[in-house]
This record gives sequence, structure tokens and C-alpha cells, in this order.
Amino acid sequence: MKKGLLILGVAALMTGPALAADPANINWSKVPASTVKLFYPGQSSYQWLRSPEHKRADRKTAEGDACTSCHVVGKEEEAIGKALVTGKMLEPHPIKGKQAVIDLSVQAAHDAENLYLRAQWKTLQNFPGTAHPHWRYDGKAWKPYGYPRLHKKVWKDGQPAIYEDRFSIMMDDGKVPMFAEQGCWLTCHDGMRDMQKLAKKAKVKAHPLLGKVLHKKDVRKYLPSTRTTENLDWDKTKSAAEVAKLKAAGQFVDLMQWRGHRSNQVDMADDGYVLEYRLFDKGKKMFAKNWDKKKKQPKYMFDASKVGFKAHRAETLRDQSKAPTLIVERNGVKFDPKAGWKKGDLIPQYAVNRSTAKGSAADNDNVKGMWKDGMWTITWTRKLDTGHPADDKIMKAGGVYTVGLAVHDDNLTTRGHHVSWPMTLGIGTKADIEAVTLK
Amino acid sequence: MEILGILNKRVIVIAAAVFGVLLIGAAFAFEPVTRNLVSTDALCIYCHLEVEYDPAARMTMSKVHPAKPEGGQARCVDCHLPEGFFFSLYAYSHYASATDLYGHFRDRDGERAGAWIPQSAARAYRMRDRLFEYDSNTCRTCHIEAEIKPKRPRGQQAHAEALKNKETCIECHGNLAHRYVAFRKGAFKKPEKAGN
Repeated sequence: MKKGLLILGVAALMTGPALAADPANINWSKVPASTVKLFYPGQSSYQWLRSPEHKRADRKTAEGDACTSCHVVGKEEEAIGKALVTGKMLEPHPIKGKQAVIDLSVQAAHDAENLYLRAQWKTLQNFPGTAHPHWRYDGKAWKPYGYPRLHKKVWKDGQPAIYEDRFSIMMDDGKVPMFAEQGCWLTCHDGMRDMQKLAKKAKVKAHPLLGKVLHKKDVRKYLPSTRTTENLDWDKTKSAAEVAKLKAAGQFVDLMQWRGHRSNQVDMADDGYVLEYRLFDKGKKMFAKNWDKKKKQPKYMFDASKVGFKAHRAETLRDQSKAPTLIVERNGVKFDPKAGWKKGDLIPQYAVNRSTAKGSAADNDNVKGMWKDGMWTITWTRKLDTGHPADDKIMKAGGVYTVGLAVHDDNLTTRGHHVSWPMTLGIGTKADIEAVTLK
Repeated sequence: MEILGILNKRVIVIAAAVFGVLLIGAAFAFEPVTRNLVSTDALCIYCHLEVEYDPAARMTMSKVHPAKPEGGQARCVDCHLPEGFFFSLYAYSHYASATDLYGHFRDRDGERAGAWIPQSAARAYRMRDRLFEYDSNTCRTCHIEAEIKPKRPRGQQAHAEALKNKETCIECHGNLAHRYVAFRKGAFKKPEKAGN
């Protein structure tokens, strides 16, 4: 009898947390859904918002007023998105047929350990964005093949638009000044990739912090606190020591991205943060460049004995029955230059691994995306306390956090996304998105 | 002699009455005459650069501010000369350049704060400060805040917030007509209420 009770007790302990920790076991039909209208922001940078072109709002924006103190949530996204996506303003290369808004359905729940999110949106294309740029064998050498749709190689040179879909979450716990009011727009600046006044590669490489310390070639998101001028010029950075102080004080924004090609196939999302640059958390993320610089060839190829092919062809890139991602531990082998390559063979530019992902960079290890009937459904488990406060925002029950949500749809990156106004996420408490408490 | 004395008295009374009537009349006429016949755009532009301030000038830095919903061009005085006798008096001291040219030639507040401010910006700052101080009184001679119905939701929300927070027109609607001048940092600070 005692033995039976003990077995039951152990079983109950094991079953309880297991059920709660797996979003697949949550009855999502009982969790209220919020529809968030994501809109196309074009090149509306931090600097543009403080310029006279942001009519009648430049002063108030500079003084820290919230976007939503003028813009009405749920009523204006369509008009703004339309003006920008069609190139009426702030979009030098409008994409024909691109949607002005995306309706994102968001549900949230939590228990003592985790936050669970479920996000759904309809894709523009009738296939999921699981493909990403590849290396293409041209008969002599491996050359890049496929670019995001806003890249010059696509709109000018006619290269194919190939880029993964993404769902991104920015989060702050109140430590970043103005993030609650202006959200993602605090991080988006002139000089960044695909933005106005694009920074020159040589200048970035020569920059004492971005080039010499971080070894970057371009400018990505950054926070106002890391720059010294009023205009927050990309190159006027504070010193590494000053930035480290800001980070230690928690004055960074958490940035997590689910990626259709580089994380979804191993049920993960990446984990990064924004401070002086958009950086990944400490540890090792799940994807890495699949390129041997010395030999000028890919490091890995598909294992034909496991998936039936050693490389994709252009016509198989969107074939969902064929593995879209090169997962070294599952379907990859070391690249063999003498494998009888044919002109037009394609090998992904990135190789993915779940087992080698570790540390804070691998915190989002239970994120699943499923595309069905034109819609992505992402279920995301995030520990409230990841144990990595140095580069994560630590949540707790009863807490309210500011989030900015974004979707990259239809072969786009950088500004080609759809974004939300800053919103609040409440862990078991009232907010724009309320994570209901699981019982 | 006696008759002459009576006549003199009458003349004096009549003269005084006429003078009084003329004075009162002039006082009543002073403002409209100043506003409509003296303070013309042509007079303003005599000193203030046409290319800067006249929206009809070639290569102008200024934009049209309609006088009526159907069009036209508001006059300088519509925005820059508030109604009232004393404001009209001020106009003449302004014509004598006793204010702008000598009184406000430099932005002393800015200089004291360690900043050099271009004169055109200093002028814009002063104008905005006056409008803020007087609750955008010249705007309100034409626009009735409660009756403004912005077309777009963001305008509706912004106006509702402005009414609630007792904000005045110039706090958002700067840079409407002339060359863009960024708002001064910390502009439009309301005095703290006693006890706060």
C-alpha cells in the first residue's frame, strides 16, 4: 500500500510540472487571445521620429512621450502601414503586394516556472518561410544564392528572394528609460542596415568599439544610453567599460527571435539582447555560418544516406517534404569537395545544432513553430527566471513588462518587418497581454 | 465782453467735446487702423526678409497658412499681433526697432546657459514663448479648440489629451509657417503650482 502511494506521489510530481512545462498540453482554447495589429514601419528611425517630418510630434517624442499618447491602438496601424509599405513615405523600395498590417493573435499563460506564449499569423505566401540563403555551385566555385527581398541583389539584379520567417520579442522590465513609451523605436537608428544614412563598412570596421572590440562590419540595433551625442549617431559610442556598467545595471533590452530556418527545425528560438549593438547572449547559439573561409567551401552538406540528397536544387527549396535546414547532428556530414557536385547544387549558408547550443544563448529551448493552411502557430516556453540575469530579463508572477512584437514575413529581414506599438505583458496580472495563471 | 466770455466758454466746451469725441474715436479706431492699414504684410516684409517670411516670395522658406478653410493667406498680424489696444501700441515700438533689433538682438538666456543660438532660432523661441505665455491667443482668434475635429484618430486623441492636460496650441503646432526651427529643449515648462 505504502509502495503504491509512493509510486502515485512520484508520478504526480513528475506529471504535474511536465504537463505545465509543455505548451502542447495547454488547452489554448481556454486562454484569451489578443489580436495585435502589426504594421510596416519602413525607415521610421529614432532620428526620424524627432525630425520635423514626424509632424507635430517631434518635440513630444524627444521629450519621451509615448507613441500611443497620439497614435490610437487598433485604429491607425492600417493607415500608417499602408502609407509606408506603398512607398508614400519612409520606404525607398516598396514591395509590390506587401501587406500593410499583419494580425497577430497572441495568447499567454504562466505557471510558477514558465511563461507560455502562443502566436499565430497568416503568411503572405502559400508556403512557410523555412528557406534561407544558400551557397550555390556554379560549376567552379560556391557563390551566395538568395537574399532578403529588400537587398539590392534582389530588386536590382534579379536574384531570388530567400529568407526565413521570424517572430521576435523585445522585452524590458522598466530599467531602460523610455522603452515603455517608445518601445522598439528606441533601438532603431539611421546608419543601421537598410536604414537611411547607411554606415560604411570600412568605417564600422575601423570603429574602436564596434569594429575593433565587437568585430562588426555593419550597424544594428542599439540603445540611446550607449551613445554620447544628442542625435545618437551610430559611431559616437560610449567606451566598453561604460557600456559594461549599463549592462550590469540591467539597462539592456532582451531580444528573442524564433527563426523559420535557423531555430525552428530544432525547436528553439535564439536569445539575444540590445545594448550597444544587437548581440547574442553568453554561451553558444543553435546556428553558425556554414563556410570554411580558407577552403572557400561549405563546412557541411546534407547526409544523403539520411535524407536522400546531399544538396538542394532551386526547385526543391520550398518543398516541405525535403529537410530545409542542415542540422549537423541529424542530417549533416562534413563537406566533401569530391562528391560530384553539379552546377546549381545548393547548400544552406548556416548549419544548425541543438545539442551544442548552451548557456544563456540557448535559454529558449522549447519553441515550436508549425505552418498549416497559410498560418504559422508558434508555441513558446520561456523560463520566468532563466538563471542568467546578466543578459536576460528575469520575470516573476505579478510582474508587468514592456514588450515589442515583430514578424518578418515573406523573405525579408531588417526593416521589412511588421511591428507593434510597445505593449505590456502581465504575468498573472492585468496588462495589454495578460498571461493567465495555470492551475 | 460778457457775450465774448460766454462764446469763449461755448467754444472751449465744444472744442473739448470734439476733441473728446475724436480721442475716443481714435482710441476705437487705433487698433483696426493699426491692424489693417498700418501693419500690413508689406510693412513687415520691409524689414523681415521676404524670402524667409513671405509665403508668396520666390524660393521662400515659409509655407502658406490659410486664412480660411477654403484658402487664402493669413496675414502676419493674424498670428503675430494679438488683439487689443496695448498690443497695437507695442507694434509701433516694434516698428521703431526698439524691441527686436536692440532689445532682443542676442539670446541672452541661451548665452548665459552657454549656448550660441542663431538669431532666427532665437526669434522663433521668443515667439513660441509668447504664444505659450498667452495661451496661443492669436491662434484662438480664428480657431475654437472645442470645435476642432481632426480627421485622423491620432489627431483626435492628441487634441483630447491636450484639452485634458490644458496644453496650448503652440506646444505641438510649431513650425507651421516658417523655416523649421527645432523646439528648444525644456520649452513650455509650466510653473509649478504652489504646494506642489
